[in-house]
Amino acid sequence: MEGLFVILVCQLIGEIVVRTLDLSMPAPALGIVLLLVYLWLADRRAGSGDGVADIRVSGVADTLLKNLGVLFVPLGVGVMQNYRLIYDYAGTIVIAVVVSTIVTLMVTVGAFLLASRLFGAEGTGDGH
Amino acid sequence: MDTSGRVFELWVYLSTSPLTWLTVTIGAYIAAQRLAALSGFNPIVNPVLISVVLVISILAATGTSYSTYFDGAQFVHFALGPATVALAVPLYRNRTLIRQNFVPVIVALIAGSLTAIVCATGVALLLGAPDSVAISLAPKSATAGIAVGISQQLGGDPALTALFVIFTGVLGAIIVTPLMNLLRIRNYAARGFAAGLTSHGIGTARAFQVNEIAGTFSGLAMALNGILTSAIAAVVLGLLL
Repeated sequence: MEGLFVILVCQLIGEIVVRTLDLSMPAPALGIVLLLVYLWLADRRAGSGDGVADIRVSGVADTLLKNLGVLFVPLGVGVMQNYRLIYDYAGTIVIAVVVSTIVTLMVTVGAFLLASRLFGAEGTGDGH
Repeated sequence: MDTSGRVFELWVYLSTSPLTWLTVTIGAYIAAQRLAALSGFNPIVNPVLISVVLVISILAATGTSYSTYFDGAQFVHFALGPATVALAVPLYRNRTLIRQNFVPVIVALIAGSLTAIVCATGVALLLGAPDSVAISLAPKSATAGIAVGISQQLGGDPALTALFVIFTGVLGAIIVTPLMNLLRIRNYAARGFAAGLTSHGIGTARAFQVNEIAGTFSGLAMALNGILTSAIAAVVLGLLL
């Protein structure tokens, strides 16, 4: 219960800040940053080195993330209201999603590899 | 009253009860997960996609409106916000990994996040899609909880964005392994990072099936890209539209 409370408080503060400052940013995105700060502070207080000190929060978070898929379903079903729009622009939508997915995968992996080579990051992969 | 009359009356009550539609949502997802397991977790057999199709079929067969359905499903939908905030936990857990790969992570994050927004929106606009469709496409590589919020704030259609998010997730999860093998990329940190940045949670689930390091970097990319997309989407769209 405490873990859930901490997560909800982070989201609530995010909501208050976003609305007060009229930010074009979803409250949960700010909530991630706030929860990071909380976890860091909790770790410093506990004085632990690695891992997450507050296991109440990490327990709730892991449960939520393990069941992330089901949380998309109500939104996905909402598509039934837009079938007209999707039908009209089906070709455009499919091309835009397919092209951007392939290009994004290639650009991201390319940028990662290039930066690893140029800046000699500690290897986690192929040991160049 | 005869039996069929009673059954009918019961159905009239149940068909508008939030409890019914909440149960159907969770039941459909469990059934879809079983199917995915039966297929040996083939990425094409995506539990989210299957549950959505199942639920829509049930709603269509019973003549139930989306708003009646959502009265029940909103309890599941609500948890999307806290679940997004919860991404801070894997992010924090992997902080050492981020520090060790700081430059590649930041470079790939910025390059990938910009590419995802510009490419999807640009292609749609070039092909003559209306602004509302183009805006709804912009945040599609971000995790659903964030993408839908962005779409709503910028004048897109949240339900349409949800569809694009799922479509991008499933597509990326299907093509990432063959594409990376074709490009002969064996760095699993880089492969995973690309999967998570492009295809958020669905890509991350796939990456964990392939390789532990790939999965970890994928989760990291998903959380970071969610934050960055929400910060830059408005500016990038302002330049494109």
